[in-house]
Amino acid sequence: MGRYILKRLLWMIPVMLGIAVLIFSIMYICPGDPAASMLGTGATQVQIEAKREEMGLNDPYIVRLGRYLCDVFLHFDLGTSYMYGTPVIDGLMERMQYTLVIALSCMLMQILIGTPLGIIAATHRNGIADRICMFIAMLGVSIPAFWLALMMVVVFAVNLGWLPAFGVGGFKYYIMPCLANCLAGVATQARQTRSSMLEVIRSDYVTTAKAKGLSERSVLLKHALPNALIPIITIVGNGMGMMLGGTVVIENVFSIPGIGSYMTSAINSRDYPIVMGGVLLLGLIFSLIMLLVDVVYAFVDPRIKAQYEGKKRRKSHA
Amino acid sequence: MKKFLSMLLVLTMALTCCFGTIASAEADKVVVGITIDPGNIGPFQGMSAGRIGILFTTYEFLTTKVNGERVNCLAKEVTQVDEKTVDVEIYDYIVDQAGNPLTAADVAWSYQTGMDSGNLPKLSAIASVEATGDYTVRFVFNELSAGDLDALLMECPIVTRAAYEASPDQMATDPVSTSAYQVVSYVSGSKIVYKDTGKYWQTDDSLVPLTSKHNVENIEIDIIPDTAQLTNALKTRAIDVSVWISATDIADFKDQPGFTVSQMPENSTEVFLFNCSDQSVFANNPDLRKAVAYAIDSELIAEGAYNGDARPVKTYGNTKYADYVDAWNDESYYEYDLDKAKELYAASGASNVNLKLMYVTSDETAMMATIVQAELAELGINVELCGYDSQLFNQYKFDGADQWDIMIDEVASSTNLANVYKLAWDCNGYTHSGTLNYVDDAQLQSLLEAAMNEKTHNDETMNAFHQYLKEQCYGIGLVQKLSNVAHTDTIKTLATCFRGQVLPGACEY
Repeated sequence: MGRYILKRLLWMIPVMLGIAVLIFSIMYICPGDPAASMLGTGATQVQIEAKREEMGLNDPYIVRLGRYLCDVFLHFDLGTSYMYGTPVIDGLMERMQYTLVIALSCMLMQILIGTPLGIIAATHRNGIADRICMFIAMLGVSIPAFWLALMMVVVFAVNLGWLPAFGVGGFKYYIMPCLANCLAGVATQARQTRSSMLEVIRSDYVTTAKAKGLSERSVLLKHALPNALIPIITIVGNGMGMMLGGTVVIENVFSIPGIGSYMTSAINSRDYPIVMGGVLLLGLIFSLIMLLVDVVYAFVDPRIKAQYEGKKRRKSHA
Repeated sequence: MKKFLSMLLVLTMALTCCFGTIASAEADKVVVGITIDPGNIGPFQGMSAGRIGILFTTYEFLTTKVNGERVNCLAKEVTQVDEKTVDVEIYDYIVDQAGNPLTAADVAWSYQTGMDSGNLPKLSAIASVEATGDYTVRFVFNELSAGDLDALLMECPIVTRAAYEASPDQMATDPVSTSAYQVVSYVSGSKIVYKDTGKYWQTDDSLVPLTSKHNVENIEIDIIPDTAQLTNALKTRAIDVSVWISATDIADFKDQPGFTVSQMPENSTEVFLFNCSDQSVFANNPDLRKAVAYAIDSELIAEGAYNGDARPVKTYGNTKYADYVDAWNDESYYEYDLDKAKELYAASGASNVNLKLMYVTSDETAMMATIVQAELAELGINVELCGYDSQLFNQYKFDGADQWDIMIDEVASSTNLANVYKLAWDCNGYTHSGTLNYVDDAQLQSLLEAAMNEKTHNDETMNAFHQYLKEQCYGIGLVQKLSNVAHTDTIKTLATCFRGQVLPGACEY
C-alpha cells in the first residue's frame, strides 16, 4: 500500500509539471497587459512598454516558461504578485483558510445530507419519500449557486436581517456561502447514492441477508451500504473539486477573501503569478484528494486492497 | 398545528435575537464600500481605481487639491525658481505614525524611490530631486507642461525612509505614513481598518487640508466586488457610504428615509475616437468622420445609457477642469443632426461601410454602443459591437489598429484639461506613429504643445487646439458622467476628493 501511495505521489510530479506548462501557456496567449494594469490609465504607451521590458514580459515564450518552471520546481517559488507586491505563496496560504472552511463544510454537508437522502430514496423506491428526496435533488442540480446565493442574501440579509450579506467573521458569515455552494453537491450525492443503493439492494447477498432474518437496518448498513460505497466515494472526491471550483463564484458574491476571489481579481488585472500559482495549488489539492479517494477504496473494498497486496506478494515470491 | 406554529415563532425569535444586531451602527466608525481591491497599498505603487479610494486616508502628499486649487499639506511653501526648478519647504515638525521625524531627505528619497519604481509614470518629468536643507527640497524638471507641477507635488506619497526600511513588506499591507489614520488591519480582498492615532502632527486645524481631516475615529473600507452585493450592503447598513452604487440601483436610495444620494460631476468624459490609421476608412476622410459625429445623439446617450446621470459635453473633456474655456458652452458641438450627417456621408464618397466599435464592457457602455449602432444604421453604416474587458481593450487600444474603427473610451486627469488632451493627442506618448488613434498631423501636435506649455497655456491656446480638433473631427467628447454617492444618515455632510472619491475622515457625522 505504501509503495502504491509513493508511486502515486511520484506520478503527481509530471501531472503538476503538465498543469504548470498548460496554465503558463494559456496565460501567455491570453490578451491583456499587466504592465498597463500596474501603471493605471495615466500612463502613456511608451511608459507601459518600458515597464513591460523591466518586468521581463517582452522575453520570448521559452525563456519565460523556463524561468517559471525553474522557480516553481527547483526553488518552490510561485513568484511575486504584480498587484499586491507580496509572494504568491504567502497570499495563497493567507487565503486558503477561508476557501478550505467553505469547501470542507460543503463536503461535510454533501456527505451528511446527500447520503441519507439517497438511502431514504432508495429504500422507499417510487414512494412519496423517494419522490420528495429526488425533487430536492433535482432542484439542487438545477439551481445555479450564484442565483441561490443572491436570493438568500435578499431574504436573510436584506429583508430579515438575520445573516450578514458579505464578509468574513464568525460562524454566521459562512451559513449562506456554504448552503449556496453545497446544494449541487448534495443533490449529486443523493442521486448517486440512490442509484448505487438500488443496484445493491437487488443483489443476491442482500436477499440472502434478509432471508436470514436480519433486521432491515442491519441489512442496509452492514450489507448494502458498504457495497454501494465505491461510486459514492468517487462522487465525494469529485465533489471536493467541484466545491473548490464553486468557491470562485461564491467568494466573489459574498466578498470572502479566499483563493477564488484572489484568483478572480488576479485574472481581471492579469496578475499572472497569482493565477498560475492558484491553479497549481488547486491542482495539487485535487490530486491529493484523488489519491486519498483511491486509498479509501482499498479500505472500503477488500478486493481492491487484495489487488495492492497481491502485487506486493507476487513480487516477494519472485 | 398550533404547536408547530408556536415552535416556528420561538425559532424565529431566537434567530432574530442571535443575528438581529448585525446592522447596528457605531457612531465613531464609518464603513466605506468599494468594489475594486486596492491590492498592494504600499506608497510607490501604480494608480488603480481601488487605490484611489483609499489614497488620502492612507497617505499624505506635499500638496493636495481642494476646489480645483492647489493647497499645501506637508509643504509649507512652494516656490518656482525658474521654469524648470521648484523649491519646496516642508513643515519642520512633521512626524509619522511611528514617531519618525520627516525631513527634506525623506521627501527627496520618497520621490527618488517612486521614480526608480517606474510605477508612478508622471514622475518621469522630474530630472532630479535633492534635499537642499533640513526642510527644503529642490526639484528640477525635464519639462514642465501646464498643470504638471500641481500633479507632481501630489503624485508621490511621502513616507519616512526609516519607517519604509523597517517594514518587512515595503508597506504593502502595513503602511506607516504621516496621515492621521493608521492601518490597523488589512485583509487583502476583504477589508482595511484604520484608526485615528490621535497623534496627528499638524495641530493647527486651520492648516489641515480637506484631504487630511480626521473627523471620525475609525474607518473601515470594505471591498465588495459584486455591485449587487454592494447595494445590499448599503441597504442593510453594513456600509455607510459608497460611490460605486450602480446607476440602476441608485433609485433604491433616492428619497428613502435614512439615506441621502448626492450627485456630482465626475472628472471623466466618455469620448469617441476614429481610427485614422492608413488602412482605415476614416483616414483622410473628414466628411465621413463628421457624418458619424453628427449622427450620434449625446442627449439620447445621457438619457438612455445613464438614466439622465450624464450630460453632453462641448469638447474632448468636460467643464470640471479649471482651464476649460467657458465660451465653448455657447458653441455648437456636433449636435445630433441626421440630415446633415446624411449630406456629409454622401459627400464622403463612402458606401457599404462596416465598422467595428470597440468599448470596455459595462452596463452603460454596452447601452451606449447599442445606441450608436442604431443611430449609425440610420446612415446605412453597419456597426459590429466589440465589447472587451479593460485589459483586452487597452491592448487593442494601444496596439491593434486592425481591431477597431471607432472606439468609445473614457478620459480623465487629476490636473487639467490640457492633460486630458495630452493623453490622447500627444504623438510622443505612443510607440506607433501619430496619436492614440494614429493621427499624424503636425498642426495638431504644434497646437497641443502650445496648449500644454506652461508659458503659453491660456484660453487662447486651449481654444485654438479645441477648434482645430473639432474642425478635423479626429475624435469628439460625448458625455460627462454624474456620479451618485449614496450614504446613510450617519454622515451629515459628505466630503469627496478631486477624484470624486469619498474622504471618510473629512465627512461630518
